[in-house]
Amino acid sequence: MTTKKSNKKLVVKSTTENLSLVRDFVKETTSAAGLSEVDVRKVTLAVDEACTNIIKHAYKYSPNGNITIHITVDNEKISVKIVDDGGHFNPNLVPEPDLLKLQKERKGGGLGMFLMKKLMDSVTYTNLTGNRNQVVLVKFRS
Amino acid sequence: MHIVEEKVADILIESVKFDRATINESALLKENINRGIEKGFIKIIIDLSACEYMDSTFLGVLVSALKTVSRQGGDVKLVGFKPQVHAMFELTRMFRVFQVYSDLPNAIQSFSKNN
Repeated sequence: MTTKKSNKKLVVKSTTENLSLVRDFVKETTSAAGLSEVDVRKVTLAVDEACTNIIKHAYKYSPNGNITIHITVDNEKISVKIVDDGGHFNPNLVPEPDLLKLQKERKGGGLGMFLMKKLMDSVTYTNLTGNRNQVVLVKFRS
Repeated sequence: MHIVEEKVADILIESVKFDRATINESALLKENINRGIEKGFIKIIIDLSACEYMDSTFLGVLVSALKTVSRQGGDVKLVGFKPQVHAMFELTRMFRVFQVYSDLPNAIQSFSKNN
């Protein structure tokens, strides 16, 4: 394969209405990069969940924040870097959901981060300078 | 974006008529279900056959509804999984929590079998 490294960026305001723009951007970019249909769906859902978490938890539904999504494509992998400035977030404070317990207690919350980890090959959170957070989602080409 | 609501005897049927079931659509379904429960409906069917895509917030509304009505002896049954929605339920293992039917008549009939 001779795919060259390419980068694409989308910046949206932190509204749930913009999530469809995000999904379309990810779908188009990963499809054009030659990812399988199944992997395109996985990456799209993972990015959707990450941005939903940012809108809900970092910006607390305030529509004035920015969400920046960079997608980098190379021969080996698709990497999606998502940056917000909604205040530092510690992913270690989010407990790993106990699926058996969730089933038993019939709780549906807390599944977003779990899904991101299941759908992607790696999920890495970093606190940047200022109040910025970065999460990088990586999917290796199968 | 809309949901068609139907009542068959004591069963409330919510037919979701959008292909993307996300955080944006979840509030509408939640309102409909809560209104139905307030009116005494605890047998609920959600028809998802138009949905191509579901996020975890929308899934959370389904789980929350099931939790509420099951406390009162009711149930939430689902109809018509498209592949991507099915994949979401498999990933989160929520297919073990819900009864899923291929079509509406079977789902309706299942409530009478339970009585």
